[in-house]
Amino acid sequence: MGMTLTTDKTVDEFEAYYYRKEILKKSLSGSSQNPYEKIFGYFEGESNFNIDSSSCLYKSEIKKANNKSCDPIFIEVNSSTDAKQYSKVSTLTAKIEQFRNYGDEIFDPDIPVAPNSLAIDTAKDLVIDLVENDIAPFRVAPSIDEGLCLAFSSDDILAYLELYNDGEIGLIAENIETKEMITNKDLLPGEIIAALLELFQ
Amino acid sequence: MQLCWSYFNSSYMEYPDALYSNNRPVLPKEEILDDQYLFQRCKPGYGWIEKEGLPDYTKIQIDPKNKKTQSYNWERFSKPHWVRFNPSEKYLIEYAVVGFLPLNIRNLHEYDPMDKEYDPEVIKSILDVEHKPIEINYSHCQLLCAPPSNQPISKKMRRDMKLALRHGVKIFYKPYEDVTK
Repeated sequence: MGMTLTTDKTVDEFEAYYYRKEILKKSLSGSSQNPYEKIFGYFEGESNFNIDSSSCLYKSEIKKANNKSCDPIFIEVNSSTDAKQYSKVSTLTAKIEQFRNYGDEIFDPDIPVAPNSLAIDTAKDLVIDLVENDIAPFRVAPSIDEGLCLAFSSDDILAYLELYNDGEIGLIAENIETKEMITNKDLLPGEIIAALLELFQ
Repeated sequence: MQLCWSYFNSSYMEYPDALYSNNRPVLPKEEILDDQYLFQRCKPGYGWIEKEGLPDYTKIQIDPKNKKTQSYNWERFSKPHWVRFNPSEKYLIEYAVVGFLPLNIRNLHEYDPMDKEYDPEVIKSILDVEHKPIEINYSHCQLLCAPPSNQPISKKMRRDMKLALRHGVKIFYKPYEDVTK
């Protein structure tokens, strides 16, 4: 359900976004408490937003109706989208986290070296941005090349993002039908989202 | 009930006598002809979906140190499904069976865009297949990965090769597919 809310205070949208992201990350890794309640508390206390506690603010949903220096800010909140995104984020985070111990249930003799903390934490850091950009991986798996491999697909593209245990990152993609390679490059963490968006948007 | 019986039946296949080496000689790699399939058993990894194809990209091993290199059963001495037997002679029906042609392995440099980015002679010299029989499996071959001057293969090149290796692969049996039918 969408609704438009107003406030008489100016909030920098990026600051709000990153603050929310940090709280969400902490909540997912630390406790089972619903992160939206914390976010609600913050925004209500600091910015006086009148939103209900089941809502969550996403960067894509914070829309300014005027320029940065003017009031008020109009914010559109879509609760059903938030719930789906939160569900995706928590599911993916749980999948990634299970590789930290690489126990009997998921141990694969073909992949003797488990993903390490660096690869796991990089993947977890990525998840929120991936979900928000609607490019969530359909698969997260340990890779034989030591690390985690995230697989993405659209109707015609298949892509693998490798997060290696030594901190290096690589992306390779091919056309599913023609098998032509579309891209293969080494990436820095800050380049991942842009590279995936280039492929899938 | 019928499904259970066929599973039971195929899960307990007897190890074929023809696979034992029995002091037969190691053959030079030139005898592994380009059109003779090399069978590989592969179990798709965690979360794999059919759309990705086989073998699973996350499990393709290209190791320049050849410490743990990819094994195959050579068509000349093995039926496709025999590769499902592990070193303990246990038949692993949960594994798929795929076949690679040495022609494709040896001509990986022709795969686009590898021919544009790397020196074809270097790529051509990196991968080959050698006959490496073991006591219980005369057909056993190994992927030979020998970069020039033992130079390391970059991760980027390895990704290229992994994807290129999947080209021309023939799927003989899917996981759990019963060979008796």
